[in-house]
Amino acid sequence: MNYKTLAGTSTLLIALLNGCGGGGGSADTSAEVTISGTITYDRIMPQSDRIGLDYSNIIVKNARNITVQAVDSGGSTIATATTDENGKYSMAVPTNTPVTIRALAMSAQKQGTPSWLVRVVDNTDSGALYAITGSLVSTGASDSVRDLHAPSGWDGSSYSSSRIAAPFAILDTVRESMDKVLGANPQTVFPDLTVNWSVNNVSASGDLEQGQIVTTHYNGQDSIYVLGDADSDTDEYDSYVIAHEWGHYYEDKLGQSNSIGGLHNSGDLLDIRVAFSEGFCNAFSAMVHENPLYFDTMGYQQSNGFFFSLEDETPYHPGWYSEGSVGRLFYDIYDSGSSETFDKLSLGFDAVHSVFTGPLKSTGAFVSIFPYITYLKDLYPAYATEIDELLSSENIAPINDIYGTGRSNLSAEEPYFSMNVGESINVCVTTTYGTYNKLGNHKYIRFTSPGSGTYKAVATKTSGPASDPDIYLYTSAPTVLQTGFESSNIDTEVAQFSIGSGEYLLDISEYNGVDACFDITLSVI
Amino acid sequence: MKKTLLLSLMALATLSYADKPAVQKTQHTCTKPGAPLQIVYNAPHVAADETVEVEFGFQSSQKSALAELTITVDSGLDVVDGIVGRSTARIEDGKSVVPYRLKVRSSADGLYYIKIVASLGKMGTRAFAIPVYIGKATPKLKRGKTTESSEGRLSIQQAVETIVR
Repeated sequence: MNYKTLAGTSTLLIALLNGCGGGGGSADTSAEVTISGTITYDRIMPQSDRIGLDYSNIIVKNARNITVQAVDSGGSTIATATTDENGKYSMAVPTNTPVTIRALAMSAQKQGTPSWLVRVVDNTDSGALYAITGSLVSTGASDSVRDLHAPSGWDGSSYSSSRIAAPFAILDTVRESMDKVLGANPQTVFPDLTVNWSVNNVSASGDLEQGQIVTTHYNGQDSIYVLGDADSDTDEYDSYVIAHEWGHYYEDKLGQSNSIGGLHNSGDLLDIRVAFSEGFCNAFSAMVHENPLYFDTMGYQQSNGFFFSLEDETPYHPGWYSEGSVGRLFYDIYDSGSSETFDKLSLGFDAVHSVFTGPLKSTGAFVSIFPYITYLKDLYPAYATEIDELLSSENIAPINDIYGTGRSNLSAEEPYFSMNVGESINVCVTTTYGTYNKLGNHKYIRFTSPGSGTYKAVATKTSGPASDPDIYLYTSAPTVLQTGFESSNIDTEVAQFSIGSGEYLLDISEYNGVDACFDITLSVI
Repeated sequence: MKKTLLLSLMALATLSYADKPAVQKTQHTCTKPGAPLQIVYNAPHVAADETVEVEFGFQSSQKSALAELTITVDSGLDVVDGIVGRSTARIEDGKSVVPYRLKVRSSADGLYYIKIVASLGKMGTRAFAIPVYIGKATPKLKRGKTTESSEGRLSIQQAVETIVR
C-alpha cells in the first residue's frame, strides 16, 4: 500500500491497517526489519532574472548527509542513520514495534576524516535543533519504506504554515560549500558550526534571542545567523548569501582572516582586510554554485532583491581596496572558459585552498589581496604574468610583497607605515570614503620588538577636530589581534603592553568618524 | 520610563561616549553584501494607546543617491500619521536630506517593528527593522512545537510522510 498524508493524521489509519494484518500482542524484538526511505525538502528557486523568489519553481531536493532517527513510543532513539548523497537512509529496527521516523537538520560525521558537525537551530527558542517527524507506526513484520518531506509552507500568496523546509535548504547549501573544500582536501576537519535561523530573525539590532540579528552574518566564532523575516528579508533560499557567510567561516576557521566586518558593498573603497574578506566570500559563493551571478532576494512576497556578477560586472571604483575587484580576481583565477581577454587562468579551487590553508595562515601582514597574490605567485610562478594581467584589469599595479608596496592608484592611502622603538611618526586617518571599515579609516604601523619588555605606544592628535583615537596591537606571523586600547580620552590614546621579541603591527583608528592626524610614539618603559 | 534609542543598526553600537563599545571585539561579525546604507532612528518607548513619533534617516558611503523605500508596519501597530508603502529618501553628503517621521500607536503591549526595504538599484538593497517598544514590550515570537531528545531540545514539525509496505 502507498499513502501520503501529514504524519499526525495518518496514525490512526496505520494502526487500523496493522490490526487488519492480524497483529497485536507483544512485539517480537529479537527479529529486525529494515526501514528505508528518502528525506526531501522544498527549495524555492530564484526568478530567472535573479530578482525575487519564483514560487512557481519550487523543486524537491534530497536532504543529503543528515541525521535520521527511529524513535520509539517512549521517545527513545532506537536506531540512527545518515542519508546518502541521494537523501536515502536505511536502518534496522525491531519488528512489530511502534516507531516514528525523525529527520534532524543536522549533518554529523565526527569519526575519522573528513569530519564535521553542522546544526541548524532556532536562536529564538533556546537553540532548539530543527527536525521533521513522521507518525508513530508499527515497524511490522517486513521491510518498509518511509519517506519524509519538509514543505516550504507557501500557500500561493504567503507562508501560512510551517516553513520547515528552510533549515534543510540552509543545511544543503552548507553541505555544497563543504563539498567545494573537500574537493581540494578530502580529509578536511571542519570545526563545529551552528546556523541560527528563525522566522523571528529580523533586520534589527538588539537581542539575538529575540531574533534581532541585524542581518545575515557570521559571528566570528562558531555561528552563522540567517534572516527569516517574511515580506521583509528571508535568506534561507538565497543560497549565495548562505555560501557567502560560510565563506567567512572557512577563512576564519581553516585559513586566516583579519576582517573587522561592518557594512560593505562592491562599490565601496574599503579597508583592505574587509575588501579581501568580502570579495573572497562573494567569489566563493559563485564557485560553490559554478555560476557567477550572486543574488539576494527580499521584500513583499520575497519579490525584490538585487544581483551582481563575479564575471563581467562593470568595475565600479576598482582597485586594491575594492571587494568587487577582489571578488572578480578570485573568480577569474578559479574559473575556466572565460571570454575575457585578460582572464587566462583556470587554477580551480586549489589555488584558493592551498594559499588559505598554507602561507596565508602565518603571513606577517594583515590578510588582504597583497599577501594572497604574493603567495599565489610563489605557488604558481609560471603564471605570474597572467596574474599581473588580471590585476591590471582591476586597476591594480603588480603585487610583489605582502604589504603591497608600490601602489599606483590612491597611493596616498597605502595603509602601512614602519617605525622603530624610540621613534615618532605622524599618521592621518580619513573619512573620505566613509567610516569604520572604509579605506583610510585605519593605518597600520609595523615595528620590531628587539626583546621582551613593556612598551608604550601613544597617539596624540596633531590636527583635526575633537577625536577619539584607538590603538590595537597585533602579533605578526600569524597576524592576530592581541588587545585593543579604546579609552574615550579626547585626542589621545595610550597603549601599554608587554611583549616578546619579534614583529608586531599597530592598527591606528579614530572612533568618532572624523579626519585627524596623530603623532605616534613607541618607547620601552 | 521613556527610553530613547539612537542606534546605528549596522555598527552594532550605541553612539555614546559614556558607553563606548569595543569596536574591534566585534571583528569577524561579517555581514552579507547589500546597499551601502545604514539607518539611524529615534523610537521612544511608550505605553499602550500612547502615540509615538518614530524618526529615521539613512547614512551612506555614497555622497549622493536616491533610495527607493518600501515601508510597512507590523499588524497591531496603527499608523496615526505619516506615509507607509512606497517612498523615496534622497541622500546628499552621505546622509538623508530630510528625516522620515511616522506616528504610530498600539492598544496592546508588545514589541512591534517598522520594516523598511531600501534599494539603491544596482548598488543593492537592504532591509531594516525599527523596533517599537510598547508597554511591557514582550516579543511575540513564533515558535514550533518542541521536544527533548538525545540531541537536546528539538523544534519539531510534522513532515509530509509517505509509507510503503
